[in-house]
Amino acid sequence: MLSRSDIEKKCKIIIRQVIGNGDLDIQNGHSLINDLGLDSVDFVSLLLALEDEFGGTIDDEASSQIITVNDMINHIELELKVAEME
Amino acid sequence: MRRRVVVTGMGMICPLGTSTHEIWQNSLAGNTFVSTIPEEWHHYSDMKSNIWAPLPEIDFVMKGVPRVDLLRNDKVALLAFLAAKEALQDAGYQISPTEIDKNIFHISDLEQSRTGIYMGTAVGGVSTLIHNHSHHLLAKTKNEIKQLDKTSSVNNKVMDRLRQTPVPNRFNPFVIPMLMPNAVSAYMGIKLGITGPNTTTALACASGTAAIGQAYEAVATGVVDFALCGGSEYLHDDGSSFRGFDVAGTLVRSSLEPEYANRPFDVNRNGFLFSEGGAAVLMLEDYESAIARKANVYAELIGYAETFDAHSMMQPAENSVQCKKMINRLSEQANVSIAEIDYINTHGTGTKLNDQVEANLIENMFPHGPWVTATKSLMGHSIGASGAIEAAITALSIHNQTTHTCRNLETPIADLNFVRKKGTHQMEIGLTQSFAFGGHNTALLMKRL
Repeated sequence: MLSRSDIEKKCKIIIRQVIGNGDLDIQNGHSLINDLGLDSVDFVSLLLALEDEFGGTIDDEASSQIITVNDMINHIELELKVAEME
Repeated sequence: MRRRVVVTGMGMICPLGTSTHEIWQNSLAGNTFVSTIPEEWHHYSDMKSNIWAPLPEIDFVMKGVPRVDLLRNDKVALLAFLAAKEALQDAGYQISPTEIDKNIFHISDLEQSRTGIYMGTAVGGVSTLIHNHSHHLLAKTKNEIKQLDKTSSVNNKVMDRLRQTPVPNRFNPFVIPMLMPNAVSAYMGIKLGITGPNTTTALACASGTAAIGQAYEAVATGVVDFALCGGSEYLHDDGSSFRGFDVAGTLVRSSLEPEYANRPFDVNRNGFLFSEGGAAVLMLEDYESAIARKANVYAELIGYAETFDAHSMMQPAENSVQCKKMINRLSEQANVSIAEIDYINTHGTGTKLNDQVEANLIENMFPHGPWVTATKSLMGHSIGASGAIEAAITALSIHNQTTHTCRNLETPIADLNFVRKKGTHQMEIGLTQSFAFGGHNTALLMKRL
């Protein structure tokens, strides 16, 4: 399974791809909307890109809990653990 | 006063290649790339035809499509965008990502508000809709089977087939903007920051030709100074579009090796070769500005005409009254006599009736024997993109004074001057024509400069 550090790196690459800014400084505590400036279309695009990268689906309930970069990493890490156990 | 309009750039993707150069070289070599349809399609239906012309592998990201765009746009729009990028670069413009958003591009020295985008497609993002429709119908059922399998697996062929049926993980939240046909021109405009008129025309197999015609009119009358125009189609939808044409009996049925089955204008033709898709985009601009900036000019566009049969949704009018009217209009508009037309890029699908009607039309209207060829004999039929691809091939043919053969033409159905081998040909004025389901007739006329 991917390490947390690898998940973090991949998540940040995906955020930069969605926003179109390869140099964006991203901190784990950053809010995706308030700090990094994602709009609603960007946010949905981000969910699609995360599913494409890591597999699985992020349903509405789960996505509503993703506020910060850290929330996103936590969610992916948990999903990968569950998938591995299955 | 009308302005002269010239073609200064082109971009193409089709089963023969992923660039204009590659496609042109394969055309001149008489190459075709045909294969059997994906095996799984046979599980869905007993198809009468079993061959198609697939697109080459395309690395969209390597070619400049942002990864995230692959997830929220249908390939019909992405193919058009790649062809547009090639056309712009071919016309001498530099394209680079903007500083603010690397997913958006800036074009150097092009006045974006004076540039229009005119594209054609028959069905737009239908493959996205069909793909997501399978999720709509089957995702819950498949999930229920998955849950049942945890306790007591039901094993039989039917259940296995359902388990293996491709269903996307989610119903894509972008499905509406992906399927709408106007996404083809809209995506190009958004990515390239082009703010002039932006339209997508749907005239089935004549879509690309009609879109170029509209762009020609817009540049000629001064509505815009530049136009990116053409057609795009993408039909890899688990075989649904293929089946639609197959069940209508329009596709080529092969008793021969796949590469010899497709044979427009041959007595043994029996249908058209379905293409996975493609795109072609031409850069049009005012002649004076092209000369001033020392642009490479492929050809001058000197006319566009269209008529409508008002006859049948699927069959051409056998008397070709409206097609004759279209050619006469084209001749009058361009102030060129029909006898001066020395190259015809036909619609040439390979279907029984279409080819016979078109051959009769050419025999009747062009007794002086212009060169006649069928681009679909090489690359199959990419529906809404085909007319634009054939317009590009027409421009290249008269520009280079050579053209490709009518592949697999052994016994012609009419005594026309078909191109049977590659060579140097005197070609000053070229006609390309497209006919469409619905009864739309369209044609462009080009002149060598």
